[in-house]
Amino acid sequence: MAEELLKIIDLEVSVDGVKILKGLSLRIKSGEVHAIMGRNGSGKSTLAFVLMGHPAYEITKGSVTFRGKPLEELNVFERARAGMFLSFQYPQAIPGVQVGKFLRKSVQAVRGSAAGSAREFRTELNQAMESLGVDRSFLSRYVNDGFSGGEKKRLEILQMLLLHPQLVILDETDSGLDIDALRTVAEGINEAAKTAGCLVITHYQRLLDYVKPDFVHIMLDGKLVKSGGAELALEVERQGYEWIEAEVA
Amino acid sequence: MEKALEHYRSLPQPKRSEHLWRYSAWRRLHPTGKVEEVPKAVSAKVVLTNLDGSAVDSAIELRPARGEERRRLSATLAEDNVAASFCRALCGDESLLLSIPNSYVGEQPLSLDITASGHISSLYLLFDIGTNAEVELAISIRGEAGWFGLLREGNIGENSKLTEFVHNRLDHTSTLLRCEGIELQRDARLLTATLSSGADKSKSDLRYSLTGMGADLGVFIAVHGQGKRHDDHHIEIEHKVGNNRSQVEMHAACDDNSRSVGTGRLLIAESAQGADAGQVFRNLLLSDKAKADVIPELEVLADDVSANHGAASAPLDPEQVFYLESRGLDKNESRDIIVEGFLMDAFKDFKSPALIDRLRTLLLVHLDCDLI
Repeated sequence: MAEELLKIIDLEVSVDGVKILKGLSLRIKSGEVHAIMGRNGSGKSTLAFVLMGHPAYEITKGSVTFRGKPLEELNVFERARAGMFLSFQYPQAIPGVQVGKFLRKSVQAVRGSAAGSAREFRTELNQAMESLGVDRSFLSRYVNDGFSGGEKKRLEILQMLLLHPQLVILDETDSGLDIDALRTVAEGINEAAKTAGCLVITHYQRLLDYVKPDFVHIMLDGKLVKSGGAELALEVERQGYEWIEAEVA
Repeated sequence: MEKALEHYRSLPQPKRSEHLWRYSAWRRLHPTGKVEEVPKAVSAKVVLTNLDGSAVDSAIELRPARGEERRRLSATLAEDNVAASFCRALCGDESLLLSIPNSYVGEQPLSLDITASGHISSLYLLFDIGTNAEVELAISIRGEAGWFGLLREGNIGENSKLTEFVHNRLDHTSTLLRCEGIELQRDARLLTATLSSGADKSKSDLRYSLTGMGADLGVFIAVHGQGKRHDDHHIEIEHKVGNNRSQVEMHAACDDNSRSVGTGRLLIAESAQGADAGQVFRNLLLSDKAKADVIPELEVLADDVSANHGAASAPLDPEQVFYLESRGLDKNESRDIIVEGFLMDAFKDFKSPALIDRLRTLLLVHLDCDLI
């Protein structure tokens, strides 16, 4: 039986005193792909940030556990080391820090002794870069500094492949990607989804043409108001969100 | 010697109201604090090799400078420059000349290792780079001298390229006074990078004169302040003729009670139409008590130029920290990597793969040693 990775119960979250999430519940098991769709401002990215522990977000009610452990007991880096990974919608630039060094440090921090030798890391890195169509010159560039939108997203997925997370949270990973890049990135996500649970936050249905979700959830005003299978995403693509709003009104 | 001494003593002592001495009073930098005094100094030891430690090409000379060479190569620093005048008086008749012949193209970078020892130490180093030459140079300033004065003056000949980095790694108990005056001739290029992490009291007065059209100057400075370190850089660039370019990028990361000062003065003469000049000063404040002051000044007399300056001081960016923590690095590791990156980013336009690798290694060693 698949392990339950993430359990969110009746979660309420505020930022600067403004309530954004208003009683959200969700369970994700290992190997499952969940997609959350919703309009801008519905709280999707807030969920991603609060799961990873961004200090600006305050949990005012409810609980979140990762593999049975309350997340509030874990610092951000401990969540990463425990197996959580967030692919950022807008990844931060770290000027002066080379991608190659950053990846090595990150892999050592997250995987510890399982990170292997420098030679093993290089082999794994080369394979992952090849699978994503990333050029070797990437490694000497500074992290996300002057990167195009597509390059940033590829670097996020490259990190995901190297860190071997158990729970992957993808925040609008498809935004800013052309169709070829989207396919490549989706292949990376599908690779990770073989062993991890995935929470795909997206605005559009097009990513779900390539990453098949087991569950699709619709978020409106800080709550998951409707859940279904992959067909729900297609329905949203055809009809928008108004019919769901009418349904829950 | 007597003449230099007399000249220094004839100069009016600088006041705190002067731009150059506003943040680092001359009295506090002077080796004895008695500004009229010119104490005895021990000459610093200088060793020139290739970067791999092998002997340099026989065409390259490092030898005592002759009087005529001193006069010819010391035109950039003004007669009334108190710090330079003091260093000249301190060095007396002793000066070294590094001479690179015309059309010399180095196959590998040179290494100039300067060791300052004793209570008070000094070095007057001149350099003369001929025409159509290309040379890369790594300068290390180290040692445990209580006080070290380095005066460097020189000329980069037509169509020559000098790419160099200077690493101030003097003992923390030292005081460093560094004065430089460098002239760039037509189509000459100077890329000069400084990593300043040694000497708890450090004052650098760096002056460059672009006297030839097509000259290209890049000044890149990274300062790391810890403890009570006080680091003051004054960079003065004069575009005497037009159609040339200068760039200054200074990054200072200040921790604990340290203080960094960056003052830039850009002078574009009326005849320097088409000059392109920019100065950027950025400070990363790592503690509540750290300070950083930046004053870029422009004096533009020509009307067809591009001249810009920018300055910014900020603490660690919490979003960068969050991003790095989300990749498994704890708070301290995240902070360290941001500081390292911030300092290295000062050298992003310093185009020398061999020297940038060495700079990165030296910075890492410096930062890692400080963690021990």
